Amino acid sequence: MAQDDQTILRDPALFYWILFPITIVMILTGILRHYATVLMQSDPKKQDINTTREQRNLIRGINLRNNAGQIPLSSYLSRKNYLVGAYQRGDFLKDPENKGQAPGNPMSDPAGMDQMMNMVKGNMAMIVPQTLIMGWINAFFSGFVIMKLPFPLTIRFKSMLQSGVATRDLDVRWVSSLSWYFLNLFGLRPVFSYLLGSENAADQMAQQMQQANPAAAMNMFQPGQDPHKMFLAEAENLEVIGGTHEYVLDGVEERLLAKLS
Amino acid sequence: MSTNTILEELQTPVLPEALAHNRATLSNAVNLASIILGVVAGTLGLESYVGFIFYFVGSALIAGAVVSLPGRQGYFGKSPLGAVLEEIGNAAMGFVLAWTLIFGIVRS
Repeated sequence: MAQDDQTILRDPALFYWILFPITIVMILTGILRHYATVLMQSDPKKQDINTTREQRNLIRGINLRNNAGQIPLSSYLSRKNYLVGAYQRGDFLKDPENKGQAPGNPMSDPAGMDQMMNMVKGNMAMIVPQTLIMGWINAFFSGFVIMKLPFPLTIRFKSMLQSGVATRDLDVRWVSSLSWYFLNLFGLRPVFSYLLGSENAADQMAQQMQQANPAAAMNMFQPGQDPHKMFLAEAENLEVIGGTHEYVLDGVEERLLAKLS
Repeated sequence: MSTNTILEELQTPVLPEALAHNRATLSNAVNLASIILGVVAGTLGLESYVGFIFYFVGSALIAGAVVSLPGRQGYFGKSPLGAVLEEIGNAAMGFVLAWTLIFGIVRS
């Protein structure tokens, strides 16, 4: 039995009525989902001044460490001495009485709740359109094979990709419209990256990877971290830099003359 | 990338915005190129293995072009080859989509 070149004659109108509409709908919902996610992000809550002071002073220490090369050693040392002393005394802490204790769990801190709500909203914006489109395709486009894949697949994919047509001998390369949906789901990611820029919210894979790595995405002050410990760690880092400080304008006259000569 | 002294790194800084722009340009280029490669493969009527080999050859050409970019234009935060291969991996499904679409249209 010749399995290797089954051909089925198909009406060319198939393409205009099925392939293109599914693709266009998926592109449009992707763009819609991206803008809906962007609009649904809630504004960051206004924090009281002590919290802000705590966060900003830690950032100040980090900035000093990162840009230490832009200021001469004496300026760096005077800034560093002030900051290290203040960190160790706990001058910037929000509530000095809780110096050694970690703050409460994420459920009680309003800033943590905010971030989790944003993640949940992002997930809903992803799941709902996918479910709707899959239901629409199953309702309208089921029961026939639509096209032939250029590449072969194993038999196990047959039940998934030929969902409405239960024949035994039909080549796996003939697929139904649900498989066109799956193909679009993965294949439109480059198109979305191109249309919406790389930060787009229609990219499912990037979102899943981001969820698996939440520590990188969240604010450094997420609840559960002890601010005092973080200040002390930053103080240590600043002390370490003091030993290897290089000033970018060191010898700049010679460099300029060497360039011009 | 050779390791520089701290002083040399200070004197030739890299702005994060410039790095992001480089990566965005690379990503756009690779995504577009893989979709176009898919359209070509579909028009030529390439079948399974030949089609994938075509994609590898095409993306090797792109990788070669990116790796030979001079100086700071080719700076992506990690080795140029690694960055372009990662982008090609992301764009592979775009190739498959375009290939399948055009293959189906042209064949009938």
